[in-house]
Amino acid sequence: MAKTQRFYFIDTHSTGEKIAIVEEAKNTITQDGYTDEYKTVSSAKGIKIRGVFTDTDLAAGTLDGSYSNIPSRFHSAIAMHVISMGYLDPRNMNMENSQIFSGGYQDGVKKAKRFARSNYVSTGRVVPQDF
Amino acid sequence: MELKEMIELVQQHHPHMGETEIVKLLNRAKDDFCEETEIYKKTDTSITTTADLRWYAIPSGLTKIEEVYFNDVRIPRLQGNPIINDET
Repeated sequence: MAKTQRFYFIDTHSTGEKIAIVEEAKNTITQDGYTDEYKTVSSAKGIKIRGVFTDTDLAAGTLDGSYSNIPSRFHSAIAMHVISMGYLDPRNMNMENSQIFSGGYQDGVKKAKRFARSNYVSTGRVVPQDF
Repeated sequence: MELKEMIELVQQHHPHMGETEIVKLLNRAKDDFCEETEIYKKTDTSITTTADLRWYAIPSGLTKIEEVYFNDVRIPRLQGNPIINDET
């Protein structure tokens, strides 16, 4: 069966930023004397996008909700970021406190990055034993 | 940690802040956190192509694409754009 090479790209469409799927089509698409090597995808198939996402927003009305896709031990770091931002608010400005909580948030970010990279795998060390 | 607990934590420092304002800031902080740490990775399957339709809405919340599959076959990113524009 002949292979059709397909590609994706992101660009600003007339209705905002979108993802485009095209397929190779040598010398079939022409416009104003120019020939393009790519044409719009010609079949209906599923697209899977693997990537980094943000968790779903919480709504003020649902107080028992939580950020379910972020491990709960990092939720306090998110709250610290908000406390830090609050200390930059003219109603309650305090640069020193803002920096303290910003530091707490950065610590959380560092730990979360390490956790995200680990993919739930921790490495061990083999220690030699004398018998 | 539930939303209620996070709001209480913030209000201990900023009692003048309302619930709606705190939730808005928490959501913003959460977006920053997810973008910086890349802690939430998943595979979105919400798009199905339609014949002769080139453009599709980007899934909500997506901040970085790692791989794209068409009919379960990985497809590369096109370097540059096609020279003939197609808005369909």
